Amino acid sequence: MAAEKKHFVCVVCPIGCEIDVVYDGSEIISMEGNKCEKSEEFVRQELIGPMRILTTTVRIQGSRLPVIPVRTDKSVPKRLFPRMMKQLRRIKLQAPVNMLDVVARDVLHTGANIIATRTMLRE
Amino acid sequence: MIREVDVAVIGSGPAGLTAAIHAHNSGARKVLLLEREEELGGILKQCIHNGFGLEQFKQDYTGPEYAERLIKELEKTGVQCFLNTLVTDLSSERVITALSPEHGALEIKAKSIVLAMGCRERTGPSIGIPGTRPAGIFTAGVAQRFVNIDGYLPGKKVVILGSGDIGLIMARRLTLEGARVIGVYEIMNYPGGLKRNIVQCLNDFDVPLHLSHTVTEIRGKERVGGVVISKVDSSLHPVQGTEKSIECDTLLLSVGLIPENELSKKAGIELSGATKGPITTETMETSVPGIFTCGNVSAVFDLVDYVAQTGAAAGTFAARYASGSLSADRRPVDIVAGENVRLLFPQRYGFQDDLVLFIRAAEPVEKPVTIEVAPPGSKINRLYARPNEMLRVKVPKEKLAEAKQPIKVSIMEK
Amino acid sequence: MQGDRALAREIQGEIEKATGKQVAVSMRDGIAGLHGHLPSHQAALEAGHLAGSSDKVREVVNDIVFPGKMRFKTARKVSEELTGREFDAVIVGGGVIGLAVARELSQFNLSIALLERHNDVGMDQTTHSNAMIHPAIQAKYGTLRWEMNYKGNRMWNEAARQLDVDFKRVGTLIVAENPGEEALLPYAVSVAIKHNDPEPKLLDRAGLDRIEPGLAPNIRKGVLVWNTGIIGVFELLIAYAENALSNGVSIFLDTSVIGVQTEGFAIKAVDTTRGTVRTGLLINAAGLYADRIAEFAGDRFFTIHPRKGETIIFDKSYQPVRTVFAPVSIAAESQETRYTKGGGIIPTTDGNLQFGPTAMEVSDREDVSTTAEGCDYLFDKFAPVLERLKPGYEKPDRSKIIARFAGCRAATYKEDFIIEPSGKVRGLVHVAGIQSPGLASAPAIAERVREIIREERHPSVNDKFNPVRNRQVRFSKLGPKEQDRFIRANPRFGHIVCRCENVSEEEVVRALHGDIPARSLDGVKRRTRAGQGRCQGGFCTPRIVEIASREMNIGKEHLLKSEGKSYVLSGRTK
Ligand SMILES: Cc1cc2nc3c(=O)[nH]c(=O)nc-3n(C[C@H](O)[C@H](O)[C@H](O)COP(=O)(O)OP(=O)(O)OC[C@H]3O[C@@H](n4cnc5c(N)ncnc54)[C@H](O)[C@@H]3O)c2cc1C
Ligand SMILES: Cc1cc2nc3c(=O)[nH]c(=O)nc-3n(C[C@H](O)[C@H](O)[C@H](O)COP(=O)(O)OP(=O)(O)OC[C@H]3O[C@@H](n4cnc5c(N)ncnc54)[C@H](O)[C@@H]3O)c2cc1C
Ligand code: SF4
Repeated sequence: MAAEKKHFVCVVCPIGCEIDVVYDGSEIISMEGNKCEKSEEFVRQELIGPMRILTTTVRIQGSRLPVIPVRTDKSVPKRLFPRMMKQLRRIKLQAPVNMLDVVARDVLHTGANIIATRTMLRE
Repeated sequence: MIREVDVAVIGSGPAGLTAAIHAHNSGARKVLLLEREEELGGILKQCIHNGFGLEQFKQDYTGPEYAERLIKELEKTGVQCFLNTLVTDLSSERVITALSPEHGALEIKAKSIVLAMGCRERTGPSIGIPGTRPAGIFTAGVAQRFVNIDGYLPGKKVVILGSGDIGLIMARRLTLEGARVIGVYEIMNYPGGLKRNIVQCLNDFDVPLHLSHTVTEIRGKERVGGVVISKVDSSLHPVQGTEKSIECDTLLLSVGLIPENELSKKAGIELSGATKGPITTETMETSVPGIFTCGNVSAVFDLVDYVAQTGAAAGTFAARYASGSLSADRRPVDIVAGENVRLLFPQRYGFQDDLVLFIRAAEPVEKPVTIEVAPPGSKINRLYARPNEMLRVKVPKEKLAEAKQPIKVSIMEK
Repeated sequence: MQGDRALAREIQGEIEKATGKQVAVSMRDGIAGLHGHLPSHQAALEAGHLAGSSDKVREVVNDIVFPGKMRFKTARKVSEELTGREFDAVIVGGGVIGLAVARELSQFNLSIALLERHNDVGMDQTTHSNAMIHPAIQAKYGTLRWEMNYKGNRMWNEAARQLDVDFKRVGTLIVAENPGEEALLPYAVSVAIKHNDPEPKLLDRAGLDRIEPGLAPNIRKGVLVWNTGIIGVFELLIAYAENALSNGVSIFLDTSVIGVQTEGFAIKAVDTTRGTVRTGLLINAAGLYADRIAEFAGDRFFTIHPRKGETIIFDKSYQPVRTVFAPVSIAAESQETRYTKGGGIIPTTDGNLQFGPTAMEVSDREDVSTTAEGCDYLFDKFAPVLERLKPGYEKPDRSKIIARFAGCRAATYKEDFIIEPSGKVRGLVHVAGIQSPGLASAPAIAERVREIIREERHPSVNDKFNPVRNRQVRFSKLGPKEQDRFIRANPRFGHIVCRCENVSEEEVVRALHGDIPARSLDGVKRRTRAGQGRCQGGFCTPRIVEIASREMNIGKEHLLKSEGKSYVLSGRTK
């Protein structure tokens, strides 16, 4: 396979280096524009399939507010976001919920759990 | 009935929470935290995305997690909190007037006060757009609250005006919740928000960003039916003939934040034209003795870590002021903006502590720069200077002891 | 008859000369009828005005077709709930005029219904006005508009007191900038006196300083036309409505008149979107659609041509003037507003300064859109005036503009008011063509309608009539002790939902449950001022949505900003 070029913006730190990458498949041939080495891992992952934390809300009953914020406890493939959102739509929690409580386990077999990001008391 | 306290903190966002904790830890006995909402935490409660606390806690928290961590810390101190309590007036004699369903019309006399009221969103440009005023026009922050706290979608086909961070974050959030975000239109030729947000919120979801574009008309009688978009020239005027009409049911505005200083004005506090917040020394004291300030009411900070840092200073020095242990002789010198500096925080130096300066560049410099602080003539290097990312530098107290004339801060290419 | 034909030909000739096109002109009983095609809206307007300018023409019906001419849409019937009801009198139109007339007629022993197509009162002309009580100095002497204006102006002290509405005679201050203009001031005084205004005050510099401090040094003389007033216009609408209700009038909102039934040239019934109401007396106070109602009743003898006015409003922190401020150069121009773009520098009872209104003929009566030109025109015209004449004050700044709005005036081609019983249909009274200064004239207009009814129907007097109405408490205006007392009695007063205007939850709740309840967010805003401050609803919108959905017992997705399909939110996220 011939080498290809792609432009990335590193989001590992706030500097946001603009990196020009020459790659072959998932192998990096050269990188230009990055100010540090931390970007390498990031770029490699972007080439394989971008991974992100998903943050959203799920429904909750018995508390003052109707939804509670949640997130994945580690990065998950970005392409799974739509399916995850769909799955989370079906969840309905009961207050009280504590921060970091697991709301759903191993979503879509990613190994990631969905956890609550705040405490919501019963009211 | 007049209540008396040592330190009163107005606002319970990250700034106010940190200030209250630090005031307590610095020995203030009676600390009172006043918050107009039903819960502590400020705007963080609705910022459910991650990216908070990377510096302070070395953790990638979401807004609510960051807030809860501070709230738990506060709970340990036993600081008293009045929720649902809106401060309506403030005097230079440090008397606070507030209203609350539980406590009635309150009068509070405080030995020192910390202002931590945060900021509000600008709406100005929306008022300037000709056309109708149908339902479906929101600031990004209001939309964020509706989606993340109330669980409601503001609309289904969305145009975003302005590329501020909240707008970018909402582009992603609304897309995830099933709305269609048609595009983000920014009048300037550079984005307003952080680069990482452009990548993670727009590029990740194929939402286009159109620079040098603005909304020139709003259409629709009852609900927004569409907007007209135009290109702008270098002086930001719409270019005739470039109008394009776009069908949508929602217009979100993300055109910047402005410190919330109605109360500061009532107390006669001197405000800075650049930051729109109080003019402050490194102890976070304003021009009115005994009134301190921190967080986004002082200047709009990019990172919550910076906000917390100012809160810590404000809380500590407010406690010292209340106990009378802050040196009475603190005639400050001015800190002035030199080359390529749009705004500075703080704007005065009072010889009490190290000087931590927050600087916003006027023009972007995408190569290494030197920040000069003179006197004492310190030179600090950074990799770049961008208007949308504050620079922070620290100059130790010892070095500044002899500074007799205004301290000038400049950003120069290296 | 001969005279009519000659006059028609004359008008036809004039129109042809002006537009280069022929149209058909008919004359009958002093009413000119125009038919045919013209290439533009502008040309059709000109034709109408040419016809109207003849002294021998009493009114003009302009049926000229032009490209882009709007057609009337008749609202669809939604129910029959009013069918079978009967009233002695039915008033069409819940603007300031219809409401003032309703209250006035409730002095008689008559059963009265007022029908309004919108879900709130005054949504066409009245809420888009500048809330100014004009002196009569600007009105064309001898017209009905002038007569109603000077009579109405005098009645406001008492009316505002009875109705408990903010009203202040701030005066129009005409200042001279040079000796040439100073020489004109005595003339202004004589014009005011001729127009039946009370005698204005000629002021020297010391006098000026008392009225309007901080004027530029070159200003040495001025005239204060002191009877100019400003009024809380939305509060006034509510006050008229509440007072009418408490004196027995029935008010039906969301009820559009879609037809009128007559029998032997007498009013028999009114068809509405909510059924047919029987009555023998119909008062046409339908503002922009008064010609439409006249047509329904078979008495179409005038045409309304909408003239849009735009206004810009400033933040409360910018209050450079106390008076309606008019240097001679502007005062002289506003003598005739039809051909200038008009406008003025007008304070409001809430403390927000306005520049406006402009004057722009439009073809759509529903056109309430603002334009870049309108805003630029107002700012560029009046900002330099303030900068020049009040140099010590903060410079006017566009960033202080907190709102812009527009509304259409209901003008006829005679540009005069029509307040008279129909010459054709018994039981029909027209109160039409009530453009500016219709608000200033409202009490006098209502009185005139009362006298018409008295003469025609000889109704007996309702001795239980009570002209006094008291307004809801405005919490932010109370002192701290009283505020504390109110909160102790009702904690919802302590929950402030709009931090710009300090509006409490209880005030919002009351607005939602009042006699004329708010049915939308805008309705709440008009009643309580929540959302009218500098953050323009940024803080309070989610809170009001919360309270309104709770109090109205509907899901948030059903809440409206105004009416129709103006949903605030599109639905739950999940
Ligand atoms: C809509 C919005 C979204 C934001 N999103 C982000 C983001 O995603 N990431 C980020 O880093 N930053 C974000 N920011 C910036 C954010 O303001 C700061 O990160 C941080 O929350 C500021 O902390 P603070 O304590 O200064 O102010 P805030 O968190 O705003 O707290 C101020 C508190 O003061 C209270 N208050 C104000 N006036 C009174 C009064 N008169 N009486 C009583 N209480 C009062 C308010 O209710 C509020 O709780 C956002 C800001 C806004 C406005
Ligand atoms: C921009 C502007 C500024 C002005 N400023 C001033 C000022 O400062 N001072 C002043 O004195 N005057 C001013 N005026 C004029 C003043 O507003 C009007 O003269 C006055 O409001 C007329 O009241 P009204 O009740 O006749 O009309 P409207 O307020 O228009 O009321 C008529 C009502 O009839 C209803 N209606 C129409 N058709 C039907 C139907 N088929 N069925 C049921 N209901 C129907 C409408 O919905 C409307 O509510 C201004 C006007 C404009 C446009
Ligand atoms: S390459 Fe290194 S310095 Fe550049 S953005 Fe990535 S992590 Fe930051």
